[in-house]
Amino acid sequence: MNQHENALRLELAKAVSSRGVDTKGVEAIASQVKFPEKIRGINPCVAGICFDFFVDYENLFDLLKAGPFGPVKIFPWGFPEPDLFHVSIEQDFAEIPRLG
Amino acid sequence: MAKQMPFPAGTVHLHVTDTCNLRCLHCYSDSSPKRTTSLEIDTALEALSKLSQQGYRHLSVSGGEPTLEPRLGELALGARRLGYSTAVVTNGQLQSEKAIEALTSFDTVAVSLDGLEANHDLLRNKAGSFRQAAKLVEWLARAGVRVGVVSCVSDQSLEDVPGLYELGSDLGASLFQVRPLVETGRSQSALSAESIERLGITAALLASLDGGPTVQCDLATTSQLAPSLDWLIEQLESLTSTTAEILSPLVIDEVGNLRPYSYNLSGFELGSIHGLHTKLDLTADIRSRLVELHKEVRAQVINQDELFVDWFALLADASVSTATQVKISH
Repeated sequence: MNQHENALRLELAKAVSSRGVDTKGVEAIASQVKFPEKIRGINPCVAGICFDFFVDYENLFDLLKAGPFGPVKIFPWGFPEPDLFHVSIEQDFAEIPRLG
Repeated sequence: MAKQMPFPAGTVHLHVTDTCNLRCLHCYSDSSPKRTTSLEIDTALEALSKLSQQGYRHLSVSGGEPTLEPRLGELALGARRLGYSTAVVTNGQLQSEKAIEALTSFDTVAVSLDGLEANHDLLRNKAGSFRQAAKLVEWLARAGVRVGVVSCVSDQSLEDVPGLYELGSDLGASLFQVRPLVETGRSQSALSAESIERLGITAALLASLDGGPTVQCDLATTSQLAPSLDWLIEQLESLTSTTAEILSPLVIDEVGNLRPYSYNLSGFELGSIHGLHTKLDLTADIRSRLVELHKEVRAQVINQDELFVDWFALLADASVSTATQVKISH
């Protein structure tokens, strides 16, 4: 993880704990930190923050069931891991300072 | 089905005294300078010896304030000789040569900081207590001791959690533990459900950071806890696992009473270490009562919308409805 992503995660933690993110936003984050071990990236994006996951088919289904969330992009990983998917979920968190 | 609980198997929580050099507004054990009950160290070590033969391997000592126990160092060294990994939780106020020597006899020292300076000193009921405790964290880290910051989080101090993590990291702490405030002892309120959710998410995010202390959060996710409780109920009914796997943490209070899981779990006393002549035995009666307790908790967990739950608080609540005195056979 680079310093930029580290700083973004820390800012997100501060926003959640200081109630800078409203309850709806907390529910949205909760749907994603349910799989903290699968989060492979937290990045600034057009909507606010993108959570990136690498999941197999079974976990992909569980992950998407955890919604609703913002726009979702799914990229099949392909050879040599045909069952692996890169999932990027966008969330709008206006309360969190853009670090990019 | 989950093969383990969210908390480590084989753990003993030993409350060595209820004497304390502070009188915190939120103390779960109602400890204070006026309380004077302490465990006899030789008796405690005898009990730890018997429990080690049943698979207990981890000892966490708290109080009251453990550094007020004159034989604390002997307890640590004795437990380590029995094969325990040892940890102690201190408020960091007593920093005499003897206290430091006792603390450094443990494998890990956890210093409690229940908020940043304003919130901590308010809850501790003593100005300057935050700086004194932080000074101890820094000193121990520089001395090469494995040191952690442990924080009991209230609705008021929730926003301090990331700052405490950063402070712990700056001072050289290798562990950062958060646990929710419960309504017991002198505490007049518990961490609200909304704050529990925020604390769980905050801790998960802090745990994902590179380069800082290892984060431990004493909350379980509902998806993690329900199958763990299924496993625990199955083990209690079939006894295919050891007592140390099923009863962890095992609590020994300052009087020597044994309790499963939590200091404040009422009505489930397992007897006393003074009567522990051979081993802690899970009788059919105890097992059936614990099965009922865990089924009650499970029912609450699966009906909960939130992602994170305080297992210890759910146990305490459920114990009120299922409480019956249980006896230890030996």
